[in-house]
Amino acid sequence: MPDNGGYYHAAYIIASALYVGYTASLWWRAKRSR
Amino acid sequence: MTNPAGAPVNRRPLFDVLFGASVLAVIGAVVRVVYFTPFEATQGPAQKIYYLHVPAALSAYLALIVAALGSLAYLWLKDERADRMAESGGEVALLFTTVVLITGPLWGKPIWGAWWTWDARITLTLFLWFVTLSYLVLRGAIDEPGMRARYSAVLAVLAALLIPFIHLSVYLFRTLHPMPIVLKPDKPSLPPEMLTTFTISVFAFLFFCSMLIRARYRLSTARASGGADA
Repeated sequence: MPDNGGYYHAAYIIASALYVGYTASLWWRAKRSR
Repeated sequence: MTNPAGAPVNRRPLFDVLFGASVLAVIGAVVRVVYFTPFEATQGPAQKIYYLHVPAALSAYLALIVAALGSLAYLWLKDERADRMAESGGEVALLFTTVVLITGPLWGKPIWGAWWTWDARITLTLFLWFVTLSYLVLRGAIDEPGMRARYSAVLAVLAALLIPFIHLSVYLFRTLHPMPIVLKPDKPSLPPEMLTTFTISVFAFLFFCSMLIRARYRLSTARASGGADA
């Protein structure tokens, strides 16, 4: 089996960062607009 | 409670129990991918990017369809709520298309040996990303609400027209992307364990995508009426 776990981990970490970052941006914009 | 103009202020929270449930569904799907789904023998661990990449693409389609339907509804009814729905769908579509364009090369490099090729599906997805970005830039550039809603609605409908071309590109053009192994007319060709994981991932991410669109819509509505609760 090929040893390419680094790509797999990188994909999940980057995608998680984008989803969490976007959710945080929604929270931040809601806070600012109050 | 009212804003200075006397209209009722919208105080629906952006993040509620349903949003939390969608986050838990995504976490559950990822736990299943990581701990309870076998590695594919030929591609190795990189194949597990499939459970992230394809659900992100389907979520981007969903968000774009919401943007297009909201846009059509606005053009027909001139209702600001439809424009807000379109704006929410467009922004969330950009998020998921970005995830697709990042996870794709991370899968392509170990399997195809290249980060990027000008393959039909990849090129069309990049084009969709630029059109979606243009949609949001256009919205930010026009101050007059009616004109902003009308012009951007046309762009959102045109962007959604790319979806069938992207999905069918593997049939229409010579491409490195494999033929569909699940979303095809006959039986899926994934082993049952992987198919279950894939199905769970798709529904979890579509649920999460819907909740992000809803939260973004609530933010727009709250801004329009003078305040928002996080």
